[in-house]
Amino acid sequence: MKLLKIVPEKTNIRFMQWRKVSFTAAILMAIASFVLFFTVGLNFGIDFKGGTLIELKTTDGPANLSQIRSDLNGLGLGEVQVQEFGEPDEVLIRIENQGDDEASQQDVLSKVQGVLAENVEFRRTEIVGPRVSGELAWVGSLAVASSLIMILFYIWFRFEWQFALGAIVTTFNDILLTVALFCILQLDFTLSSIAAVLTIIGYSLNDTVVVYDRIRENLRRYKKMTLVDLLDRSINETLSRTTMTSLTTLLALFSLAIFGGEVIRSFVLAMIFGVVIGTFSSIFLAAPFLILTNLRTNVFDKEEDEAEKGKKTSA
Amino acid sequence: MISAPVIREPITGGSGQISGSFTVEGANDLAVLLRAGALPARLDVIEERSVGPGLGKDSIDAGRLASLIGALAVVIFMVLAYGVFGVIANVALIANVTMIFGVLTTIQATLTLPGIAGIVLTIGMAVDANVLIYERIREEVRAGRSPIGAIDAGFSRAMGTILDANVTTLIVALILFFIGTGPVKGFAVTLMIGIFTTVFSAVTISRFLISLWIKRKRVTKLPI
Repeated sequence: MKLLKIVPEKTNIRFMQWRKVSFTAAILMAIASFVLFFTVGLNFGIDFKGGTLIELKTTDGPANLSQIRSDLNGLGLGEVQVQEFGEPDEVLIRIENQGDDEASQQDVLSKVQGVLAENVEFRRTEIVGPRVSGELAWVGSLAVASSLIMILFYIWFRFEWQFALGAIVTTFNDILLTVALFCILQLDFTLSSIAAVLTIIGYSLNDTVVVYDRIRENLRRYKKMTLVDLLDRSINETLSRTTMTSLTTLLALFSLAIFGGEVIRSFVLAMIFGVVIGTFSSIFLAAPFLILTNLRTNVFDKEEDEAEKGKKTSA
Repeated sequence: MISAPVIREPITGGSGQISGSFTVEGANDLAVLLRAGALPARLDVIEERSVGPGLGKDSIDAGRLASLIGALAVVIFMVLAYGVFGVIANVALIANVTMIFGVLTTIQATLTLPGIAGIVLTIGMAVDANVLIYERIREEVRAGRSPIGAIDAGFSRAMGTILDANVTTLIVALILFFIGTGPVKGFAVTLMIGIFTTVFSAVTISRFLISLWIKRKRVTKLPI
């Protein structure tokens, strides 16, 4: 059987010669993401804003959205959003936060059940009070920040500071772009989205670490090679693996996006985006970043010398 | 008695969590009763989430279907790309997923949708360990090593990379676990279990099967 080889056995692509283009593109996209974040902004779900979310299914055919909307607006609950959710008989209702009082937040549901009692099945309700939502937002940001710091130290410990910095800059760029995606598509930004962002961090780092690992190995093996050649060589050597892993992960994710249902769609969409940019950034950002840090090609010699010395003294 | 729900954790920080099987209406009634009840302290319900049986079943069904199709796609792809070695990777993958479900059942974890997403992601990434090893073996074969030499070198050289890559993911999963609540925590648990079973199945099961196959067939040229 002829095996499927998506990347040819020997590639010799000069990735580093595009580094000026890729750096410029990365910086421009990062700026654009910041602008988007502060102008368009994220569409925070109830997890971070507080409020009520109700998913219901009408039992007598397609839902009459405008009827539901006018029924709910009659309740005087502030901003109410009514939208179709996946199927014509499924409806998603979002009701804004009811001030600082936790109790009035709870009353929303009984009021809604009062007007929409007929031919309706309540499938999911989520009520998040104003106090919790503030906490959840804090915890989410804390999770992202602390994982970045922990990883910075791990890579510093395992490699060199240049690699740690490169990995963090690359990952931060991936997070920015993912946040920009949420801004552009106005996807609901919820707790699950934080999980998606963290998974993207994990995946992007995974890719970066594999490439860095090969760079470290080659730095030890080819002492005379210039850094640019060495980086190109390392990326070409790991290119087949990078492509294969991204493809298998994307296969699994696309199946989730297509068959996994409406509830996790925005979560999966963010991850698909993250896997794609994570793959590109490990090649076009993480590796060339090492050139910027003035990484010397003998950076790993010192520890080997010390290891040799250790051997001699113990022998 | 109105209901016998579970209070998940001791109420220490001034807030606690109650979970159980209610109807959507029942959960709201309970929230109302908690507020009105004759408890020595004033209780505010600050967060309430409930999923009706219809939606719960629909979304679990959808998740299951999606996982099955995703896994099948990955399995076929691996055979196309690596032949016999792909089949071995798939055996390791099946063992891996079985282990994940075994652990999840043992610790009685609630399988949430993000949890299922975590498993699917693990499927995608589990093959990564095998891909790393196989690509390395290909390189060693190209460098002119004998089949057994290439396999040995492939496994031992890929191991460092696999460890580094998985430790970084583990760090993220651990932080998600300690900081996250509800669905995020569920996702972290499956991701963490997935990392351990992945590393284990890639280095033990795959390696064992490959050496068994080599001995049986006495191969002189690796079909990779």
